[in-house]
Amino acid sequence: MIGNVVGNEISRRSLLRHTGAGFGAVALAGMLSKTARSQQPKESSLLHAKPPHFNAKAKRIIFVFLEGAMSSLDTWEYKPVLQQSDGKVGAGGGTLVSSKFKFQQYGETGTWVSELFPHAAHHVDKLCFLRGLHTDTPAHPQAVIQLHTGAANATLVRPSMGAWVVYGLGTQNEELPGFVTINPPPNFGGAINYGSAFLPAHYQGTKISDTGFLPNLKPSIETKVQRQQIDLLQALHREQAKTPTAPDTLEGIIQSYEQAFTMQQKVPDLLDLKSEPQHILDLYGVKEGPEGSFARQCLMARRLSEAGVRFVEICDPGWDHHNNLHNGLINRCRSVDQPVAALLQDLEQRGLLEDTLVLFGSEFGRLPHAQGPDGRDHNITGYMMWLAGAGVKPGYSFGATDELGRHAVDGKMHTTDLHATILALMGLDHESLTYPYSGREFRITDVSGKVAKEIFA
Amino acid sequence: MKNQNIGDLKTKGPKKMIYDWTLGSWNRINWTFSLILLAGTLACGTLRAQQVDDEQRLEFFEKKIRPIFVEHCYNCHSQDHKEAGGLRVDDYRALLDGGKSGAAVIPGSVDQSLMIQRVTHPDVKKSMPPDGRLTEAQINDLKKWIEEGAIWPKLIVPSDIDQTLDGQMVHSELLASHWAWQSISATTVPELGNDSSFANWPRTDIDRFIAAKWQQVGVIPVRDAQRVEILRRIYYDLTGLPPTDDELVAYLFDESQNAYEKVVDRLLQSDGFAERWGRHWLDVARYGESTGSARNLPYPHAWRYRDYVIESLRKDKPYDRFLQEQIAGDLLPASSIAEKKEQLIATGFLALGVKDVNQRFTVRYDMDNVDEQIDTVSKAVLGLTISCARCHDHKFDPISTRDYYAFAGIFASTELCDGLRNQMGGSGLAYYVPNRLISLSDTPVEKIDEAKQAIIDEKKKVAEKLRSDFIAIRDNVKQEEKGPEHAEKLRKARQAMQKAQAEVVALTDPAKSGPVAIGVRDSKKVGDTEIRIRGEAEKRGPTVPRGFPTLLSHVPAEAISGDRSGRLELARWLTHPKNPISTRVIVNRVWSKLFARGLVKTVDNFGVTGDTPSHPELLDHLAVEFVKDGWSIKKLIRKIVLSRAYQLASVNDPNSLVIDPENRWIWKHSQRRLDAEEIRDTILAISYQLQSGPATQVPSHQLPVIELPNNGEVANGLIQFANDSKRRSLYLPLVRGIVPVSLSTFDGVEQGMVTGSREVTTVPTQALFMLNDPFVREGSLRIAKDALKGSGSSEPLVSRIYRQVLQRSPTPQEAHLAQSFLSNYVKTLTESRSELASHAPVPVSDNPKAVSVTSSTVANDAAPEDGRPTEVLTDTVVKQEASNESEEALTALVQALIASAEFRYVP
Repeated sequence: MIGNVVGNEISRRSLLRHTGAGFGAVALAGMLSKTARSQQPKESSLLHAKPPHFNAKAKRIIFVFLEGAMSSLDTWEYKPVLQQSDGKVGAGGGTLVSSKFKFQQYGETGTWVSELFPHAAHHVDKLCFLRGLHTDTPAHPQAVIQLHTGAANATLVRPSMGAWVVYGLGTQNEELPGFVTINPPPNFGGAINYGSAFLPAHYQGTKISDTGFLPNLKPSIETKVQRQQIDLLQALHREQAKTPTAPDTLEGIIQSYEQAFTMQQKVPDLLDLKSEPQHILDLYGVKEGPEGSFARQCLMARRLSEAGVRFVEICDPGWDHHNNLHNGLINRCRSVDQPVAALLQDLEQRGLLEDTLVLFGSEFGRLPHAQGPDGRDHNITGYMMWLAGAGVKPGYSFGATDELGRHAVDGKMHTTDLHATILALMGLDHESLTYPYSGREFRITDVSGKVAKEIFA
Repeated sequence: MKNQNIGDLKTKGPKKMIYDWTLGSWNRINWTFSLILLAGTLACGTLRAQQVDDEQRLEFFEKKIRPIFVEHCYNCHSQDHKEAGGLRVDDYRALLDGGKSGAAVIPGSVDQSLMIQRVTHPDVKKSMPPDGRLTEAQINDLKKWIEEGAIWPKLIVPSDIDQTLDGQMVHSELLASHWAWQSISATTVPELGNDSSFANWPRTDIDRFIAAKWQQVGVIPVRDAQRVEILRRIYYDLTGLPPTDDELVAYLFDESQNAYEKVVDRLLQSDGFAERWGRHWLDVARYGESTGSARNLPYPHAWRYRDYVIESLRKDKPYDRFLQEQIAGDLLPASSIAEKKEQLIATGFLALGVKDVNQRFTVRYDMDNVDEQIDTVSKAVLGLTISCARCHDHKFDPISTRDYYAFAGIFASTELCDGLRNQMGGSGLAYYVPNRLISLSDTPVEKIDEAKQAIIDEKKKVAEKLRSDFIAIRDNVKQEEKGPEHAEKLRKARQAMQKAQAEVVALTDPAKSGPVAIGVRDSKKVGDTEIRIRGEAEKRGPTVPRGFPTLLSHVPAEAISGDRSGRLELARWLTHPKNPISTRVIVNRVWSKLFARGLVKTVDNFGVTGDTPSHPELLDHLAVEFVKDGWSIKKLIRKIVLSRAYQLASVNDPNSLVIDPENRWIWKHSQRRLDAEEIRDTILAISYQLQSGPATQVPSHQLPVIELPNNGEVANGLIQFANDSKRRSLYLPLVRGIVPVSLSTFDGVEQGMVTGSREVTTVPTQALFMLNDPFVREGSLRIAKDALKGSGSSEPLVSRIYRQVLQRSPTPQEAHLAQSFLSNYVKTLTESRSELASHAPVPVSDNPKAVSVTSSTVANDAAPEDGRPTEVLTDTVVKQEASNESEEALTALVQALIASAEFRYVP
């Protein structure tokens, strides 16, 4: 495709050889001593893979975000006492309402799961449940922001979890963004949830739609001539490198064009699900249109993770069941159950679950009390999420809420503890992963955060 | 204002203060004892009888009263849930103040306490709790508790909120030693002796300061910049745009002694200057046209503040005046109506921050906004991070929590006029409060007479009715009734409700009848505020008199009288000629924009953790001169750019590079990457598309104050408008979270915080933008077409293109590369097309318009229930295409030059 650039003195191959050897650096070698170089932050190096603070199995993470707050009590959280307390007045005021969905035990661990997750339930022995979560604000906008950035005060714009992870670890594949978010909420903080705030913009999440769209990825001209154009550009850069006015970032700029050219080809391929065999498409239940959104996201997440994207977030909205709890849950779970089960199975069969962490859950949970004829209100004092894969104990439950599922009473984990734990699973010490801003070192957990070591495999 | 003791708050060592709500007083006690109290254990008999009583009552509260609240009230009236009816029962102040119906608890007055009236109310609809009655015993306990004074657990005041110990600042040493807040004393310009190797080098005083350092550190200055380089530099630095070819030629042929000076003076008077330097201040002012954050609501009038900033730079408004207007413009005397309006608009500075309107608790909303203002003012003007002291004393700088709340009292006495209120959840215009806007009408706002009021009341009633209808349809639906029919009914009810809301707003909205601005005014109730323990808005400690940070107590300050917010006094204090930080900060900001780094590198942080100045004497010299020159930004800039130091070439020197790789000692000129705005504006300018001034109809100025998701029609409309616009970037819609790709790609400004210096990164997405974005393609095509039109000229095509894009001629080697590129390109294109023609045609691009099927508004507090419709997204269209292969090739050449490293750097 590119090699046959007739009559051009710089073939792509030789150019890549040059850039690979750090051709800008070679050109400037006479001027820049090693010490001088190391003192200047090299722009292009910010995304290079970096060693973790300590050894960890997880090399990458997939965050499955159920926006709107999934009702734990109707899905993964079986509360026999609640089931017997239907209609009674509960603590804090309000009438208790039992789950109308049947629960049964699965796997060797005998974990209870409701009939809403028939596929995913078969994977319970792989899952590590965090059952004692709690957070600060029972409103979606702030809670979504806090879950993603750690900021309890939504007026403070802070870097997102993905940005912190990529800042800490760099990327495994520099031809791809280090942090990809698919179908993120357009409100509730919007881009803040995948932003880099005061971290360098390198670390912000790249947003793609659930059909795999990314702006400016499509070559504006035929690739054959675009390659010629880039060859010219790089030749001009080489000319400039000979002059004393070459900017320090020249090498980085040269590389950025080679990376961009590669991305143009690789990223669309990566997001094109048609190349998957039919049985995999069927496993996830991939189809077109809104109904297939989540299945497509799960499969894209696997493909991106496999290709080395450090942090992938996917999102299924619509879990805010103040009313229409019954049918709403049936609908949402129907969209999510099979694909997420397929994701776990597919990661496992490819050996990816060994070094990939999966996090599944919402910004908070829902109360054991009724709201209206068919709904549950927000609960920030006790709810669950689950983890699977690299570094966590499989088939394990950590923490618990009270017998009604209202308050976390055991193994309590605040959102900051969740962040500290996720980072630790990725090999990062949340207290050391800091960035100077506004006169002090900032971290995602601010001044708190406790790692739940109990869940480490 | 010197350290003032607050009661006996001052504590030492292990002692802590306990605030007794019931007695309204502060007791100093030993901390061991406080633990006993906290545990609710009865203390031994050596205590005074009063204390024993208190502790018995406290125990009664904990055993009998709090459990009632927890069991029966918390779900609707507590921190973890909400404040239904504006009432909370887990916060003592909130109980005393009460909700919308009035005080819930009046200590000692059982009958008057609303809480008792409600728990005993005969009407089930009005009684509390809503789902059952308290027992007789519980009601009697509540009565007893109120009767006995409604005692409430005492609040522990941590010791780290006031750095004063026995009247001395803990950090007294720091106070006396840290450079930034020391008074500025007269500086002397260094003399370079005749034996100095740089004796003849300096042209101005600035140069003498710079050269004196070279001698000390052993670096040697590089050559002066060439004329072409310096012209490009001064144009970009002063206007954010490159010189035109004519301007370049004129300058090169101007042999007069002061040719450069003439250019500088002309540029300082240009619109481009006001726009470029206005943008710098907008970065500092964290300018944005919406609240951002959890619910993004537009500020459709924020642009008036933007224009105010640009106009102030154009007029070279003295910086002290500029600051005073932004902080207290509403309180300053004005000599004309026009001036009054300008000053009102200026206060938009305090109003356009990031806000969380979805905050449930008004007290938190208010204190968060106060904090946002403190953070902005302190970083922008003082280079201090005062916000750090919101929860505890500043860890590094001598700023106490007490200092913070002294400052906070000023802003807490100030009312935001941003057209917004907080509430948890709400659809349509629910967050919009038109009477919280500043009218700029020449005629006083029409007084609402009785007849009109009656109409408004009637419409309000209708709107209220429609709202409850909507809620009823939404919530009281049986399972089997759900479906498309119900959805349609709900949609209609929502529409009807929103229409009625809009009608009410239309009658009361000053924005409908004349120009309005956002800004601030003094609150109806002004006064000091309380320290909030650990920054929690509800946990009120002792009240602190309004005032200014102690670390600058040597700056003369006016006392703040009881009936004033103190903003005017603050504005005058900030701009007092003896305030050493304000002037140091601004001259450093200006310097940093001209040298790619400040004399103090951390331009927003002059505290202990910030950088120390590389040239402290020069910084002070500039600050002193700045005040002497009447706080003129233009004079300051002129002085700096006329220095020889500014005009050094941006070339390397191996020896100096080893000694000083960061160029801290300014032995060369540091290159600067163009800002996102400069890149976009330059492409427009060199492709003959740039239009001057702002557009007249901008969609972000017309937005209804309804939540704005970042997808959907409205957001797409804003982005589309920006993509089509030919105006300078600072005039584009700048709604937070909805930023056009052309600005976000090259490290656009983070609109959420004071940003004195921007990041510079190099990433592949920038390369993708340069290679593929229709904006770059279209600009390149226009330049190519224009160059071809002039093909009769004797100058080679490639050369003309080079001058148009990079403002210089190509070297022979570059010309050769470009020439062979053109012929190869045409050849390849022709070959591949003839090949294609013999096969099935494959379109180069299918360019459907960007469309989205998502809705533009979010209906209510609920998250979207049925998922989000799939966004159908595609790249935008290139509106023009090249008409033949050579035009295409030339376009590709132009584009390569725009994509080059040279294009994006100022030499």
